[in-house]
Amino acid sequence: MLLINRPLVQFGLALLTVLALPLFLRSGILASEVLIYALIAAACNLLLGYTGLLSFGQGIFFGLGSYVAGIFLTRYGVPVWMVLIMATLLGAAVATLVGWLSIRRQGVYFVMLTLAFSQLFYFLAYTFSDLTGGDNGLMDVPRPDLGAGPMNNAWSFYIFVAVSFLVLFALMLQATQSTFGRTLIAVRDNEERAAAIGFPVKAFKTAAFAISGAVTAYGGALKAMLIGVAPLANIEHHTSEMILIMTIIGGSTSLFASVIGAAAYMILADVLSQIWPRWLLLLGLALVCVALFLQKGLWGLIEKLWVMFFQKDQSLEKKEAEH
Amino acid sequence: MSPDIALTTRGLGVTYGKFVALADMDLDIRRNSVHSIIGPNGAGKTTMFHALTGRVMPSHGQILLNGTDITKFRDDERVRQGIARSFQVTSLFPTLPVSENLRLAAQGKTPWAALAPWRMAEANRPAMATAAEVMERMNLTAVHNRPAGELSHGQQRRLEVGMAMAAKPSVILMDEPTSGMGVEDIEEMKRLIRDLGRDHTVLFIEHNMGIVMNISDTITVMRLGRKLTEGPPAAVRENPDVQSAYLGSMITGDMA
Amino acid sequence: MTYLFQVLNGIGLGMLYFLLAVGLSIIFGLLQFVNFAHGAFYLLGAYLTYDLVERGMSFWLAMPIAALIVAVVAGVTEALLLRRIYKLPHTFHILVTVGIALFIQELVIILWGPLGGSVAAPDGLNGVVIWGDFIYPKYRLFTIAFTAVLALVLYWALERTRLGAIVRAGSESTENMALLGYDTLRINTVVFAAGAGLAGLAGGLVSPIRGVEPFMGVEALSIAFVVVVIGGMGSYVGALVAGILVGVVQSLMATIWPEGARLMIYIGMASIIVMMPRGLFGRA
Repeated sequence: MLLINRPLVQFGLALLTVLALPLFLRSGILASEVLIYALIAAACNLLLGYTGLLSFGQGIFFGLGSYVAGIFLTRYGVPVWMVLIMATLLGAAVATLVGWLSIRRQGVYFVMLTLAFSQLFYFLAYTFSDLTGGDNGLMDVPRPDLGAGPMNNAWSFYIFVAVSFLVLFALMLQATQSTFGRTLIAVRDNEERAAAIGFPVKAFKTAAFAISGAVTAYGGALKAMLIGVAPLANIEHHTSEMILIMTIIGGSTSLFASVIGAAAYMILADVLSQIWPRWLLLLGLALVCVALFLQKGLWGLIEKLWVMFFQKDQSLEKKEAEH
Repeated sequence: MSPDIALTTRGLGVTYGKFVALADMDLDIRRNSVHSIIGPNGAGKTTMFHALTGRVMPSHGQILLNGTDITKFRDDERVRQGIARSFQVTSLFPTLPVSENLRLAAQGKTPWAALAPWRMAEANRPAMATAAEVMERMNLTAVHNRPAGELSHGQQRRLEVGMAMAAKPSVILMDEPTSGMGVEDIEEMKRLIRDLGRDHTVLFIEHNMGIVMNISDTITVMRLGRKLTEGPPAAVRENPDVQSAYLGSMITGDMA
Repeated sequence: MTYLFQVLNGIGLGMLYFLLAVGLSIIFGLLQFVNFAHGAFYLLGAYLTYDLVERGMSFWLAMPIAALIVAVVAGVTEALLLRRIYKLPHTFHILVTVGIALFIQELVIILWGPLGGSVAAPDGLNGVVIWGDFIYPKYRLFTIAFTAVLALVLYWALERTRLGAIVRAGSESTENMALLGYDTLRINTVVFAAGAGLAGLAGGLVSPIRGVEPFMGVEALSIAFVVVVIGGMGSYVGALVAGILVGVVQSLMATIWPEGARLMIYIGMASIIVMMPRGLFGRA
């Protein structure tokens, strides 16, 4: 394994990102958003990169998390920590259901099913507007108050987001290194063989969905608190698509790849959308280029450069061992 | 039932509509022996294989593994009961190292324990030990860190068999283990199967009679979905029915 | 009476859904390629029809010309770009076609603005027919007749022509086609263009009913997916039956529970998946 893909190094890079963002970004909101999307892109990568499941339904869990935050913080005054736990558990539960139904089919059928489910949940949110606020969404979602007054300053909320990010990122790293994560990789590599040596493949895929959904819902709750709104847009097809694009652009060979993908997407979107509102046109072209020339994503590029400059010796050793 | 019989079938049959793919198969596979099923193409070998692995549900008869009736068991349940298989077309985890392929195969015996996202893979010491043992025996220790997809064809076939062994099964089913191999690799594989038979129960199907002769303890010859004859290699070789079934062509092969 | 009205509406809607889905389904059957830009071709067909009609062209001319332009655009895209990526895993098929869809959607906004517009029903088809108690918009009646004829033509083309036979053989196995000595590259382009053209035609056909707006493609894509999931991928009959089923359910629900009409489609889909994972007409 490349040095930069080792779990401790990956965590170190995540920590570095958390420390570096405030130095480079002027907006605490944007910095928090980068970390939130980095978290949910990593959760998406758990499915895409580690299990081989391309889910178009991540927006379901994201939207769900923000609705839980919106509903229970504004209407019932439930404490923040409990709301976050509720969002996480509900995300896991719904992801289990959606995952279990979708993995009944494989390959592209699976992808189409997740997309159709994301539409189902969108219309669910749209139809039951008493609960979700429909088109308007839920307003005035408060930020957490940890004894020192509400975090009106975006940078103080950034600290809260950063701690969440680091803890969940570490847990996901642990999951990918565990016997569970290693079995997921086996399922991705050769599902038929994984079943033939005795693994209940469906249970593993469903569990991967549950973890991914839990983390994504947590991220959705954070996002609602950050901007103070739980909008219908969070559960839209467009959100699912964006999460997936970040993940693929980042690359699927390590979890930190998703952090890179999310950061690149969010920061470029922020810059470009101020210059030209139709910047999505360029994004469309960029996606085609990634598929043609950068199939391992930005992280794949970084891996290549790393080997070129720092681990030449290792690739040499490998060649010698082959002789 | 005799305790040295690992796998038994009685009156096993598979029919597809009116087509009888397999009929009246009675087999007794002795423990720690190499038992081969041979027959020309279309003899029903593959159907027999699938009926044993659970990929095809038998229409008639019974399958007993160590005295337990597994006729109705799904394929993954049969794995847990102690049936392992190797694939004819090599089926590995190509991006994972050899050691990881084997560790997974060993872990497959207790699959639910692997569902824990907090437990480290290396903590399953028995699985790690099994993987190391199998690598040693399969002569793969030198390439333990190499992704399975990058191995030579012969190494891949050995890993394929090793993965079946790693589950510590009562019976290893092998589907044409030498298919697509070069001459040297075939010799190596034959040596390996022979060696396996000392402490494992091996049942393999093969259409090339030359390959099975000097490594099998018992040979079952199939034709048209039924058992033609059965016995030790020497007896099978002399059987006139077998000679006519094979038109004398393959039996003259490698008989050393 | 209202129910008859709604069932008729539903059939009209369903035939449009069929038109959308069948192109997607055929493309998938032949190329094993899911086209996430399919909704964007529908969007483009609708806007081109709108544009040509705005420039004073007759709707009867505008609609087929728009569909033809869409087919050409799709054919060129296939020949220049898509055929390079068929061999890649389907993640990249999706990435590229999502990219194309985004590109077309943004291009539509740049060219025609973000607000959308309406298209007048063509001369002779505005107004309603009245048969006793039964009153129904002429244009909607026309769409049912038109799509029914189109469905028959398509059926004939798939079952009775050489290209149709090739497409059906190709869905069984792509190697079949190469073995038979067909120029698979050209056939792929033609079929892709035809499938996209059908989506463009559906867009043009629907524009007098629902108008045009830049985000109509996304919804159309997911409806097409639902139809294909219910009907079974690669099945003509599946697309037809599922299309009409979805249309009628949506239409009937619109009187019973208007807010939940579209929700019910997806709930229906989920229940069918639970009961029959391969869809109604899917191959094993």
